[in-house]
Amino acid sequence: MSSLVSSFCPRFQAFLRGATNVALPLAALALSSIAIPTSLHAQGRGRGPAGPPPTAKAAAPFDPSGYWTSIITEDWHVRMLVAPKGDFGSGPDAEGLPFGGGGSIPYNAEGKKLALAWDPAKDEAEGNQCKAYGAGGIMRLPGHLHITWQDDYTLKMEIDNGTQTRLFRFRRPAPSGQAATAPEPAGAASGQGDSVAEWIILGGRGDWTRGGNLKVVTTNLKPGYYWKNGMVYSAKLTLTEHFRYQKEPNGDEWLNFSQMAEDPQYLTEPWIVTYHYKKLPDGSKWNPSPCTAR
Amino acid sequence: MNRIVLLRIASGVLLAAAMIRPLQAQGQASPTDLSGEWRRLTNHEDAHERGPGPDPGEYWGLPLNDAERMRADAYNGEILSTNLYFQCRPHPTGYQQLGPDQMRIEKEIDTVNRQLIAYRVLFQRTPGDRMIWLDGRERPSEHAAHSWEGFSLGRWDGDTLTITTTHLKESFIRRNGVQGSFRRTVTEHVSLDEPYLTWVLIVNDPDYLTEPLIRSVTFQRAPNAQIPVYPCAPQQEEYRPEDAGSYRVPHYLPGTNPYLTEVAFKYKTPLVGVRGGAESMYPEFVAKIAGEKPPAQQFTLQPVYNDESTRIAERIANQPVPAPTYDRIDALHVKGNIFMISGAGANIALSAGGDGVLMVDAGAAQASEKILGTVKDLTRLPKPLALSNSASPYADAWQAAHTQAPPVIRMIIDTSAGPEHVGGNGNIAGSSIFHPIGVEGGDQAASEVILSYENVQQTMLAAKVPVRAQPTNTYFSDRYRLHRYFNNEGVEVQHMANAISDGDSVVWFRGSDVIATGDIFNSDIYPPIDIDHGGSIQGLISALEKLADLCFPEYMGQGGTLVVPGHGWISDGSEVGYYRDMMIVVRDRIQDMIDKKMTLAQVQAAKPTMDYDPLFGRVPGSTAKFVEAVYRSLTEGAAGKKEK
Repeated sequence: MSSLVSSFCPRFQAFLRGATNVALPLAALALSSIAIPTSLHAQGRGRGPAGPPPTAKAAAPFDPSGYWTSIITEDWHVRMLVAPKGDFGSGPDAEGLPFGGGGSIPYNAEGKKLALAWDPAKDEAEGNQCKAYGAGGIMRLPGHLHITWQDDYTLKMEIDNGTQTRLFRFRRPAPSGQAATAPEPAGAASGQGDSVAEWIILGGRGDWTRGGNLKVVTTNLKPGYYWKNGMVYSAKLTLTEHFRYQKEPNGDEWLNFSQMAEDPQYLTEPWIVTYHYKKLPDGSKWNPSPCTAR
Repeated sequence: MNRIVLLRIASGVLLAAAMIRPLQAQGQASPTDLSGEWRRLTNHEDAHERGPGPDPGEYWGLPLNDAERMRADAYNGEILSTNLYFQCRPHPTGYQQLGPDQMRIEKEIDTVNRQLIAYRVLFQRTPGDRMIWLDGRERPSEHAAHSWEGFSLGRWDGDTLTITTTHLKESFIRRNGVQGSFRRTVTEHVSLDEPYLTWVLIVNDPDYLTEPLIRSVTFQRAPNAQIPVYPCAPQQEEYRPEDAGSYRVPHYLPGTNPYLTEVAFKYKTPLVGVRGGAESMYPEFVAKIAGEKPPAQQFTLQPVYNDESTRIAERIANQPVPAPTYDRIDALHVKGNIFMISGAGANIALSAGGDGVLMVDAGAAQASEKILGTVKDLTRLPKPLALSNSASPYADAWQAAHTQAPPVIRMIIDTSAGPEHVGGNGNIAGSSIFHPIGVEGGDQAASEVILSYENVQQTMLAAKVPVRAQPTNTYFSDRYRLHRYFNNEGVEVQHMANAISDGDSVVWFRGSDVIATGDIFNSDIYPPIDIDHGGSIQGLISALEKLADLCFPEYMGQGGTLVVPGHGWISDGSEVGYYRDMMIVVRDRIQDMIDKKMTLAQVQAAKPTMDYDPLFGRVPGSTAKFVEAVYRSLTEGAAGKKEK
């Protein structure tokens, strides 16, 4: 069409050339006015002279460090107790009941069959007492967290129940001009796997306060149990967690997080649950204890 | 790329920039778009509780106190068959998201500036649309109506929408009779990680919980979902022929519920775990129950209730009663022509319109000046509300709708002889703005000036109340209708025999569909039954049954007919129904104790109202008086003292 217009109207062609020359730089300016503040907010910095990006610790929209206690109000009997074999959340004899008789975990037939084959004596004999204490299960257990910054790019979460440690590794900045580097895999599969962390930050404009969540994706896990009564997950499990902090008017501080389990081997759909931990004033409740299979 | 294409792209970018920047500059709007259709991830958590429902006595993981425990122990699910207000009762805020319904979130946009001012949240079983206001508006008065969904204000912090909800009706927090009080608040944190929405719910209940109760649920976007209609139609269902036609409240007397241990047996869980409490939420509880064994078989539990919540009445009884100051007088629009003034003694219902003002009760004498000031303020409103209902003295509808109500009070109707209700009679009737219907300045008997049931006048005469403060007109039958429309609606006064006293009236504004109940119904205190003046628990229950029957809910057990209570906030039929049920439960418990030959002192020591005291027993001495009144009602005659 432009060739048609220009062939009939050279003046319009000249106007077009001029208009484009003006509009393109303006558009670039406009784009930068939208994009630059957002990326700065995402880095946790205000407008100022360019400098090195903040560390993961410095960019944190909330401080997760400290001691936390689990608050268990949901799935109580399978989390506070070791439920009987075959209890998928609705009691040991609930199979076939409508509306949840099948339990909470969206198992496929293979997953269900394995869950029904739970044998804690065998786990003990094979030295697998910690199968319910891997990353896929340990956050569900009653216990306490002790969260610290191991360094500016690694958040360490110690858990007293089972005496376990999870490490959340953020990307480290590369030398100038190069992309940030992903954390190195830890090697062989393990109970706590490899966890890659990032801050998802929004807000910081007008009366919309800055905040966000800690996203952690964990892979490279050894097979384990979601619940101590042998609710299995496979080595193909990927966990995606979003940790959020809230402070209530009564002073309570909460670390609430959703955990999405994607296991193509045993689940028919992603299984998503949310856990709640309340901040403790100190470490007086900290009580490391070994794994148990029962 | 040719230049026209480049120009289009550049223009588009400029236009987008122009549109986006103002939105960013306006700050708190909707940083994340939550609107759309959502399905709850069915049963991923608490499948048993959220699906078929919890078992009786299943309190694990709940930070409940003993008052709550006793309340839930008495619960019998059969109540859902007899209480018509319960049958279509939806899940309340704080629980709603845990139910099986799918959800729709819509945006409410200010049509002038196109900014988001609220989210409208719908569930299949939501009575109306739950509004989450984001526009910074103020929370309503403490005397405003409560609802199943409550009043919600939202605010974005980072990636999370935090919602705080108040003004909730009493309703369950677990579907096995564990109640949430009408004083509870709910805080919600809503976060979107596409396509999943995490909804954290925290219930703070000063009456029934010792710590906040936190729970959560996840939704997934479901763009093609549709919320079906929910035409719930309540119907009385009685399984026993002998119960047909009479109202009853199925409940268990203390120590008689045979099902409380069923869950421990079924789940092979120690009983101490099943009974819940705040400690059951913490990891340390694992050690406590480690040595406990589950019951070998189901049995009837004999619970002992003795925590702090069971001593509220005694604690409050020992507190000094502050002298009323009447410095927080509050006027609220109820519906149609009707307003409510609170904080001036007992609540006052006002009909304000083209005919002037009709008052139901006159409040305390010391508050009269402030009441008159409030009435004047109401009549100075630019336009009396709903003045399409106002007939005379203006003949045509336009004048009626655009003319201020005359600043005159025409009449007072006394619901009882209590000083908080009638103390201001003389001051109001003697004020410069009181101009009665009828022959002003002439024989008061020719006018309707102060109307009451006959026995109220007799009681005031006996108490030597000044003549000018006494009723000028009385009625003797079970009802009295004003001889003319007032503010274009019929006003019917109904006598409720032997309820609080022998002279109680309720006033029904038939056009506005509002009932002023006097002390027959109070939203947050026990009824001050006056046995010595003819009151009785039986009469009160009958009165409440009539009231509940008179109310017509708008939809799913709330709204519709509104009620101005003697004390408390604007209410509706469901709250009257709850109150009625409480009276029946307390009557049954005390009758059972009387049958066991217990004395009044023994009955009071047994605390038969312990589970209701956190809600209604917060006036010093009121619990002991209430229990005594019920006891005397049941021991001194079937219907209290006979009316004269």
